[in-house]
Parts: sequence; structure tokens; C-alpha cells
Amino acid sequence: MEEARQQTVDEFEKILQMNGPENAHQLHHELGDIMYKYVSVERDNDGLAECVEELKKILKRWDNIGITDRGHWANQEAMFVRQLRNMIIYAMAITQSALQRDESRGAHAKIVLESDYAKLDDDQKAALQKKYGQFHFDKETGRGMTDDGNNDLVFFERNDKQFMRTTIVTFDKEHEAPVVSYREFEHSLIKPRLRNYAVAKKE
Amino acid sequence: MAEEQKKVRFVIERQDGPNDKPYTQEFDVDYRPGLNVVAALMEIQKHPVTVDGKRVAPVTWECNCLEKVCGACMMVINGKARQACCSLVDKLDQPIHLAPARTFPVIRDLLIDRSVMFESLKRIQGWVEIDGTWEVKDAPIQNPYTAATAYEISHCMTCGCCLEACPNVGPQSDFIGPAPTVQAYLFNLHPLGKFDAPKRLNALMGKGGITSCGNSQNCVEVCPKNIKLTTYLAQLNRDVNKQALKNIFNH
Ligand code: SF4
Ligand code: SF4
Ligand code: FES
Repeated sequence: MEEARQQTVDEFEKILQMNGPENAHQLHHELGDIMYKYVSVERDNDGLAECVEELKKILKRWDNIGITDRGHWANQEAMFVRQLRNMIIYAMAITQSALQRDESRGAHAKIVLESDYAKLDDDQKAALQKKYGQFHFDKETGRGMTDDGNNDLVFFERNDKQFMRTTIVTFDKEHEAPVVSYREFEHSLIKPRLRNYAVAKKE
Repeated sequence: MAEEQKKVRFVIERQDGPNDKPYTQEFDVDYRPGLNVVAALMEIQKHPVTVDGKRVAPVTWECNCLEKVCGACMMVINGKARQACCSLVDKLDQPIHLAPARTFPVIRDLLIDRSVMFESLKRIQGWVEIDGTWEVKDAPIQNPYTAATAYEISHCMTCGCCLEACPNVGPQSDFIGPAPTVQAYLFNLHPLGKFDAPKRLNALMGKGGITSCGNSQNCVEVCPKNIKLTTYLAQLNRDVNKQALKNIFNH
């Protein structure tokens, strides 16, 4: 306990000494912009992969933060610097797990890219055909779009077989990277169903 | 040639700690449409440099919801107690003066300690007993005739604007102030809370209670939630007097 306390105190004291050119609040703003751009409701694997790289850069830049307030009384700046590092790591965890989850679930919808489509099995391909009819892949973005003239985006289906699991993310301190694994959870008593507010639930 | 960036000047009353002397600093923030005071303070965090080019510690203040529901960002803006998050720069005279609400202890800069209001809510029993004191069964419905009033008072976010504005809240008196007082009215209206009404009314008698209100109407003018504070203060005053009479005859 005492050791853990001391560790946190040391960490905070180190933050108070930070003397680089980066402003924590500016960096936070950029973090928000990046997440909004790549990891919003509709996302695709190219964007997510790019985001992983961008976040690595942001985490590096965290080391170069400088602070103006070195006091110990109600120092919101130092507290924020400490929180910001955790926010960046969380952002990495979110992005990495989204990248590995090739499905749409809840409010999150992943767009099927040409490169994703090649990896789908026949059943999955058939399901997409059934739902969207004929579709093509946009030349520029590689995104699946319907052929009916509307260019509606084609999204992955929910994939319970592979992804109805809890995502566990740990942080590999040495490589400063998130590591994703999955854990089964108890759902034997309730049959999984689609989240669909358009119909009344029956069970 | 690009148009020159319009700036907004902020004159901020700062203070390093509870016992330190206040001083002012001025900052310029880039104008943008829809800019509010919290957003401007955030810009200062990104670039904490005064108009004379001095790099300083960023201004300390508090905010959470950014939509006028949590109460945290209350400060004195151009002389009036209000929520910084919903104070639009376009609607304020410039330069914009910011100061902490000194009715409360100042922790640092614009950051204040509003816990006295929480203590007052404890005094007036600002909650409903549902811990087995009596049987609840299915939740009783709100009285439809008073539901609108209860809804209105329940909007109180303990921001403290009304305490800052009230001439009778301060070191010269023990008055707990309009917000916690009026909360007693809310919980007395509640179908379960009303059983404790005598406790609440008794808590409003005597020192710091409702008689400290001078009916100057400042509170109702500043409440960001438009709670008709003086109306309920008057009704509570009547209820407290009735309770006082009951107390006499029950002895
Ligand atoms: S009406 Fe009463 S509570 Fe309201 S500001 Fe005046 S003295 Fe204070
Ligand atoms: S009554 Fe109004 S001004 Fe007073 S604390 Fe509640 S919301 Fe704020
Ligand atoms: S931040 Fe919640 S009321 Fe202003």
C-alpha cells in the first residue's frame, strides 16, 4: 500500500518537472479530433489501422509535454497531464479492439472494404448479398457500396460466433502497445437476439 | 489578405490559494461564433499567456456537464453570478470580467468550495427515506396537481448562483440560503417525503433558517433554472409558521 502510494507520488512529481514544448490541452484536442475522425460510429479497417499509428505518435508526444504550473495546490494542469496519458492508452485499447472485431455491433458499424471481403467465408458473403443486393467497391476508398444507385455503404453483420465475447485489453509497457484477448461470458439462459427497437421483444 | 482574427479580452480575478491575495490577469482569446466562457477558458489552457506575453499557470476553474445541469461552473461574470458553460460571449459586454463567487471559500482562481450547500441539504433532510423506515410497496405516484412544481424545483443543480446573489447569505449571517431552503419544499411535496415534513420545517426554524430571508428577490432573478424561489420561500414560510403553532399545541 505504502509502496503504491509512493509510486503515484513519484509519478506526479515527475509530471511537475516536465519541461517540453507540447501543451497537454492542445494534445488532448488533437486526440479528440483523431478519434472522431477514425473511430466514430461508422469506421473501416483502413482508418482504424491508420488511427493506431496516429495514437502511437500522440503517446510519444506526451513525453514532450511541458507544464507551466509547478505548484502543489489545486494543480489542475498536472492532474490533467496524468489523466491524459491514461486517455491516450484507453484510446489505443478502443482502436485496437475495434480493428480486430470484424463485425458491426450495437451502435458501431464497420464498413466492408474490398480487402476485408476477400477474407469472408461463403456464408458471410451470401448474407451480405441477401441484405444489400448487388454491390461494388469504391475505387478511391475501397468501401463496399450498393449498386442500386444510392451508393449505400455495406457493413459487416454482427458475428456472434466469433465475437460474442468480452474483449480484454492489457497494456504491454515495454512496447507501449495494447494487447487484445477475449473472454467467454455467461449467456446460456438468454438467447442472444439482435438489438432491434423496431420490433417488440418476445422473450 | 486574410482578415485579422478577432479577439475577445478576458479580465480574470485570480488567487493562488485560499489565503493568498487576489490579483488580475488579462488574456486574449480568438473569437469564434458560439464561443462561451468555458470554451474560452479552455483556449487559455491551451495557450496560457497573458496579454503582456507572460506565460503563466492556466486559470483554475471547475466544469463537468457543459450544458447547465451540473452546477459546477458557477462564477461571477461581468458582475453577475451565472454558469460559465452557458454564457455566450456574443451576449456579454467586452472585456469580459471573471471572478470567483466569494460567498463561498475560494480554493484557487475561479474554483470555489460549495460544500456548505451540501451540509445545508443534510440539515433540511433533502432526501426521501426509503430504507425500510416504513413500507413503500409499489412506488406511489406524484400528486398530479403539484407534479409540475416538484419538477421545476427538482431542476436545482446546487450551483449556488442564488446564494451568491442573496444579500443575506454571507459572513454576517447563518442563513443557509434560498436553494437548500426551497429543496425542503420539494421533498415535502413528495408522496413519501411528506412524512418527514415536520422534521424539515423544524430544521428551517431558528438560526440560519427561513426568517433570515429578507425577501429581496435577488435569488429568483439569477437562478439559471428559473425556479420561482421567492414563491416557494413564501409558501414555506407559511408552512414553517403553521408547524411552529403545532409545536406549541402539541406540548
Ligand atoms: S428573497 Fe430571500 S433568499 Fe432570495 S435573495 Fe432575497 S433574501 Fe435571499
Ligand atoms: S435554486 Fe437555482 S440558482 Fe439556486 S442553486 Fe438551485 S439552480 Fe442554482
Ligand atoms: S459545466 Fe455543468 S453547469 Fe456548467
